[in-house]
Amino acid sequence: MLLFHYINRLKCLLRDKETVFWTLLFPILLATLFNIAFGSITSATEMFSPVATAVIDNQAYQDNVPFKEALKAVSSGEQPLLKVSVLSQDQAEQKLKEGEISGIITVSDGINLRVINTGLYQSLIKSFLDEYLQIEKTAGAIIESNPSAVQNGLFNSLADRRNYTDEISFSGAEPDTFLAYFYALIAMACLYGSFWGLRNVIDIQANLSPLGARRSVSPTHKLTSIVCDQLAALTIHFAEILITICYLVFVLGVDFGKRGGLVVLICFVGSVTGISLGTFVGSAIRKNEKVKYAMLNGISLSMSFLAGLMFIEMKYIVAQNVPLLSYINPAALLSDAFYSLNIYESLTRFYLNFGLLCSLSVLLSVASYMLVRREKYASI
Amino acid sequence: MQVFKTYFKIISQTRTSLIIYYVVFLAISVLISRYSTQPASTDFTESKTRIAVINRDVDSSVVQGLIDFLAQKNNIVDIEDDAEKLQDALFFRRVEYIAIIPKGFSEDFKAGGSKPIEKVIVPGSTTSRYIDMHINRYLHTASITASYSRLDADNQARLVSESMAAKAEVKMLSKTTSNGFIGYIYYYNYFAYVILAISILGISTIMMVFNQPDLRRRNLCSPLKLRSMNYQLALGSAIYSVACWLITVMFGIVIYGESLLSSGLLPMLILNSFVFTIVCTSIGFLVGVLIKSQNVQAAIVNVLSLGMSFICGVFVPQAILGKTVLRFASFLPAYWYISVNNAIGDLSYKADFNKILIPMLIQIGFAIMIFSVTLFISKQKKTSNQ
Repeated sequence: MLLFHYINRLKCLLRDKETVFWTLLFPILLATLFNIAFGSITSATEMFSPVATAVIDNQAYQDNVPFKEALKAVSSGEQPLLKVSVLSQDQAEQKLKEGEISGIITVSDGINLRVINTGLYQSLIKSFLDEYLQIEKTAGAIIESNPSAVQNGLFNSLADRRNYTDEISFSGAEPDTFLAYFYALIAMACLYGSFWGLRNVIDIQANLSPLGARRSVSPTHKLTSIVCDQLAALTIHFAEILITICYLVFVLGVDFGKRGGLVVLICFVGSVTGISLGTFVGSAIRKNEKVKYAMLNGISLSMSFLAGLMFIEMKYIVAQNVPLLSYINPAALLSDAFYSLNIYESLTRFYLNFGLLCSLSVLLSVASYMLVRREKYASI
Repeated sequence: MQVFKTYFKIISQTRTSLIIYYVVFLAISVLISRYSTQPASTDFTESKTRIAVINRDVDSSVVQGLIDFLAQKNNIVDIEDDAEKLQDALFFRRVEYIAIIPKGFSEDFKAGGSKPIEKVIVPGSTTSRYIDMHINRYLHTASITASYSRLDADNQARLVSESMAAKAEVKMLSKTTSNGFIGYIYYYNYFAYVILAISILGISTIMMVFNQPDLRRRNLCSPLKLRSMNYQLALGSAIYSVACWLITVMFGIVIYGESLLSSGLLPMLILNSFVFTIVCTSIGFLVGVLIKSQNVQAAIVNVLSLGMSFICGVFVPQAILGKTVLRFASFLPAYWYISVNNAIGDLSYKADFNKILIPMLIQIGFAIMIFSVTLFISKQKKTSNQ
């Protein structure tokens, strides 16, 4: 009997081809667009490339041998800091306005920098100039206190640039912020299961659809029909999420870490949460169908937004300022679960998210069942 | 004008859901524009990077001096010495550099050893180079002063901090900087997302009512011409979108008040957003002709609004999107809307009206094209058997 219900419900839902198609295609399309947009972004924005700089070609510059040497030192080698071109005043200003170079260095009485706006690249040039001027000053002060320093190799030591820093990492994973957009997207796709949940409520409640009315007078126990309906919806939705994950991993190459089994597990829980959210909204809100759809769409969008779908720092801002919200927002829990699977060694945080999601689904499902069971209608 | 009147009857019946959408979209855009705004300045200011410094060593003079120097040049964010918290902060870029001073560093440094400062960074990033420069410069100076000067520890520290104060002079070529990071420009960028989503949702919701097969057949055999019916529907949609546009513009004025009104950019921003609203209306009209179910509507609206927003530089600035992406995006109207906004933001220091006028005309071209396609499809559907 259960199987009969389940299979027929599955057929019913699958016949709505348009919906199946679009709920599946929506995350795939968005993920593709994300991938196009973010594909080259990290290298373009965060990755370092030598700063294009101009030096005005004048007599003072030609005469200042130490500065010339210093410039040469930072613009060559394995990891050059600057890309220096020696230009005339007019050429340099033209290029600065066109944005081809970040700043113009002029050597006259002192050394100064001209820029057109403020930014990290400009600050890097300034930092280099500061350093040059500072070393001059330091050397002067040292020689003043100890004239013999020059014979003892002060200048060699000054020129000998050591690296005092050493890169370590807490875990093997690179902190690639853009992954979080994909995590938030999967979270949203999971919450989209709520539309299937809503559809189930509409098709089973006598006051919502003729089909619901027909099914209410059948002798089947309500729990049986609800469970079968939900299982059918879960099957479809979970399959959709798995296809999306496969697409992300194998086609787009999004990194979900090495614990594939747990990724699938959290996707399953996410699908359950999504569907039970839809069921809950469908049974708790006594408004027409349009309002329910609008509410669900609004809820899943806002939750995904708070989990960082449109603006990734949002998730962190919420966690810092309103921590409670990030513990009850299923989208945040889901994206955080993916994140902690990929970034952390320990699984404590993952299981925390997992546990919270499970409790949330149980809570929503029980509440919806309480709302829909034993409803009686005097007239419809 | 029966169709036109009916249009507004349907709107008033679906107002609850439209209001829900509107509130959600507006809240999103206001929140983002508040949090992503960075202060603009007219004088040169050095970039201050957010960093975390974890001191696992004793508070020796070299460690204290280094931390003071870093604090002077950057913004130090207090974070607990806890691997997960530090990782979170770096991943979401609350800090871009974590410097860990290891135990025994000062002792080793005094002895001329080579124990390094540990750093956790975004590999290869520009900010990491920038902070490296600061750390290396401080420690280099401190070590040289220690080995060559014949001063006692206090005087050494003084010498280091005095010479660290050396500064190159920086001049700004023009005194006004780009407005690109000012809140209201952000707000008008996010406007693209809001108006796209709300126009498509609203208009397609209403069009779906008119496109119910039975209702549509009934309407088609009425004496009203298809063209007249379409024009009335378009007029209704236009009025709906303009209302949404007006509310959003008003809302922007309420939030950004003085700074927006006194900037003198408002008329241009309003004009541009109006042109884009026309484009959104036509997209909404097209989607409304094509779809039948609510589920599909939600999916399509999200793909169109979020997708276009990401590709065209609403959420991520155009300046940092790759060249190929932008070339692809230039086939989408939102790209042109955003590029006009950016040009308006830059206006104060390089006036280039072609960059404003031409993209606006392109947007109007998009609107006309999409609208014609819609009318064509609508005509086709009349004859098809559905």
